Amino acid sequence: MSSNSNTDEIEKKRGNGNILENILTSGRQNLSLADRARFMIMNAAVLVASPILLFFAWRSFAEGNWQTSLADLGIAFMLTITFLFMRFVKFNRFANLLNVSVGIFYFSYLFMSGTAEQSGTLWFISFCLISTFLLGGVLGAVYSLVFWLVNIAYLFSPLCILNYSFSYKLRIALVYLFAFIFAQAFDYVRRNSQKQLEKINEKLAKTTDNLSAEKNQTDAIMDNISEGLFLLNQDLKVEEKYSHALEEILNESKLDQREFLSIFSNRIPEKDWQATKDYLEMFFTHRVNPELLKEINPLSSIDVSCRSETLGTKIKTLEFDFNRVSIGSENLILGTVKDVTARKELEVKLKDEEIRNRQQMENLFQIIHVEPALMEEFLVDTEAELEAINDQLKNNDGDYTFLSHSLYQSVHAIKGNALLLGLNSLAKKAHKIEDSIARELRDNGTMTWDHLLDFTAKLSSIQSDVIEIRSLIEKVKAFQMQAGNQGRERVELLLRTIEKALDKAGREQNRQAKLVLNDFDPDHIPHEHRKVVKDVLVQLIRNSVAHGIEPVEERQSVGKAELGEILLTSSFSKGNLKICYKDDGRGLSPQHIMEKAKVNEQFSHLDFSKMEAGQILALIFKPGFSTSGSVGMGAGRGMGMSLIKSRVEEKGGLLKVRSTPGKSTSFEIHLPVN
Amino acid sequence: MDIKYITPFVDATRHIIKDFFDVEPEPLNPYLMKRDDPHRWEISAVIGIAGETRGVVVLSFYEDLAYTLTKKLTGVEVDGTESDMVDTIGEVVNIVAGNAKKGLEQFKLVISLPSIIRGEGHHIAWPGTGVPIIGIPFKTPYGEFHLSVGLENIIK
Repeated sequence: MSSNSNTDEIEKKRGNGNILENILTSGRQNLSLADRARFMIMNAAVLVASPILLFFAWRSFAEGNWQTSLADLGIAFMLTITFLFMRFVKFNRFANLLNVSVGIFYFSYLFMSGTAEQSGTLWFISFCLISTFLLGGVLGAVYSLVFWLVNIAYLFSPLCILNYSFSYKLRIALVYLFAFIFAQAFDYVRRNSQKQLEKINEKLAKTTDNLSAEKNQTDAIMDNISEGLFLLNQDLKVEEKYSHALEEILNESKLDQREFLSIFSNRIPEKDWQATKDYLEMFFTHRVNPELLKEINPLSSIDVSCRSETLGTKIKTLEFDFNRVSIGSENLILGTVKDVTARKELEVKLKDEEIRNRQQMENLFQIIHVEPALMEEFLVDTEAELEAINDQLKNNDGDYTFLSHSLYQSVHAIKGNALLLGLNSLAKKAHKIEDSIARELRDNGTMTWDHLLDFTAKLSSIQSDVIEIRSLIEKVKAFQMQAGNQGRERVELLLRTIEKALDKAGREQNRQAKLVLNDFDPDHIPHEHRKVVKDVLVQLIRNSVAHGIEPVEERQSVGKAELGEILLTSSFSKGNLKICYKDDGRGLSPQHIMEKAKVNEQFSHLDFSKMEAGQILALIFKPGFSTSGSVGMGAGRGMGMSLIKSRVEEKGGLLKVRSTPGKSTSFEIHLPVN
Repeated sequence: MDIKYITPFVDATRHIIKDFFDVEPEPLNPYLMKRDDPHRWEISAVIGIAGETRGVVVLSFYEDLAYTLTKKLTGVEVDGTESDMVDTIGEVVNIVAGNAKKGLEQFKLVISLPSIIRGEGHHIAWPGTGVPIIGIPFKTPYGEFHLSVGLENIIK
């Protein structure tokens, strides 16, 4: 956040040196380091040299040495041109080249002509500096060398008009070389170090970008994470970098470098605060087991009171987690905090719901199991007690002591009754009320108005429980009545059940049969026999479809209709209900039954020669007997017939069977009706 | 029903009646009311409650007490008009509701604007069948009035 202001400050400081820098860099921005240095050197040279030269020029002129003076002026002029070129001309490389090229001739002239008190020698030597620095690199070296060669050649040739001693000439030559080499070396080193600097700068820029990107990512995480993340240093102070959510969760801002514990003073119980202090200090002691630490975290779930502008103080439930971390050689505590208030409230609500449901279940259970008369008596008695209490309350004679005692008695009575009936939650409520009255009487001898209000409020809960029990009973009663009313509809139910059984059996066994009702009046069937009739008919249908009714081809081959037929008749006479069931299937063949019986170890001992057809037929009602070859869902185990026979006989009735082999099987159900 | 929901109303009623009318109402014994309890109150103000618990709070008055209170409020000795009386009751209950609201916010309860019901022995259809109703009669030198609180049971 503060990086911006830093840049501003730097720019301001730049402003002060700006004018000078402007001049020295010829007002050029974005120069490479190498160029920048070159410009600065040349401009500095110009700025320094020009005034000096002008001074010399004036001196020489004053002394009447107008040649020298002119030479000086000339150089000064060249320097100025250079300066201007560097500043204003775009392709200054070319300009420089031009300048130095001109310089080569001019300087040569100065040297060779020996003008101005041989000051040309000085300019001769300085040329290599100018050339090297202005042109730089190879070009500068070449120009310098060419200049040297030409002038030295002249110096040592017979054309030379200068009157120098040989050793002086040598000296001039060598000094120039020295200056040249020095300039080259210097320039080389300068260029190299500048190159290196550029490389370092590049690297730095890349690293900065990377760090910047990473910082952005970290900031994104810290700003958006919903948990509070923070670091504590050894002084238990919060470090600068923490997640934004932390401020919201704790309802505090500007947490950096604040003492962690100070945030919680007066917001959590004193002993928890102390425990937290000891706990956190343990993190900086060596030899502490992190697993163990987690278990004794006093802030693992804690209620903290938080101030908010809108709602005053509210309690938040927070879960803290602490871990030791190290950054380099420094040990720190990493803290996480979650706001679980909402979750906790939901848990509480769910628990309340559960309690409520359990109570309802308990009430219902007791309603079902307690003898109705007892329950009714309890309800009436409790309602009377509540009425009595209410009357006492409405009678405002101001004697709270008597009132308190009398209220206690009434509640005690209700509790006792509730316990007798097993209505434990009601009893518990009454007990709690009893307790609070007793406590008041014990401590103060009487109840205050506020306690009376509390009492009434708690009592209202008992009243609604009583009302609820009553309403549950009503519901159960209504259910029974409705169930009774459905007696009428049961009639149609029977037919539907039979039809469904036929349909299902037909699909399973892949046989087709239809139900024919011939004077079958379900109304004849009294309510008490409904179930047994249903069971019998369903079993008979299943058997018919599974064993009796033949497949279509077989039926056709014996001239029967494709669709099997099941005939039902009912009649009612002299207190007897008779239902006839007849299918037009294979019928029951005594021969077949005998054969099956012989191989069945249960029946094989029987002497069949002594038995009549009817007796043989009756074998089908024996448990374990089945003429079917296989056992299936529909029939085959041989249990169904015996079962229905015993059911009918239980009701005081009879089940008879008759059959015409190949043609039909019929059953008669006789049931007594009162 | 928890008295923490009721106490703000009781306190607010006492304070407002005292501040506005310079009479300290004396709360008589609270008792359990039944839904169909008949009464003779002539004008009631009904405040709805919703949130952590739900229900209704009713302040009921006799008209002559209401007229007396109006007189005290306006400072005029003569009986005001009917609409003045109704307005006064409305005002009073509004302020009681506002005061009570502060005490209820921490329980995440919100209250509705009060409605005024008139007519002797008017029938208040209390919500639900299992909602307990507590009645608190208040006595003043000028007559009685009544605070009824019917709130859903939150089992604690």
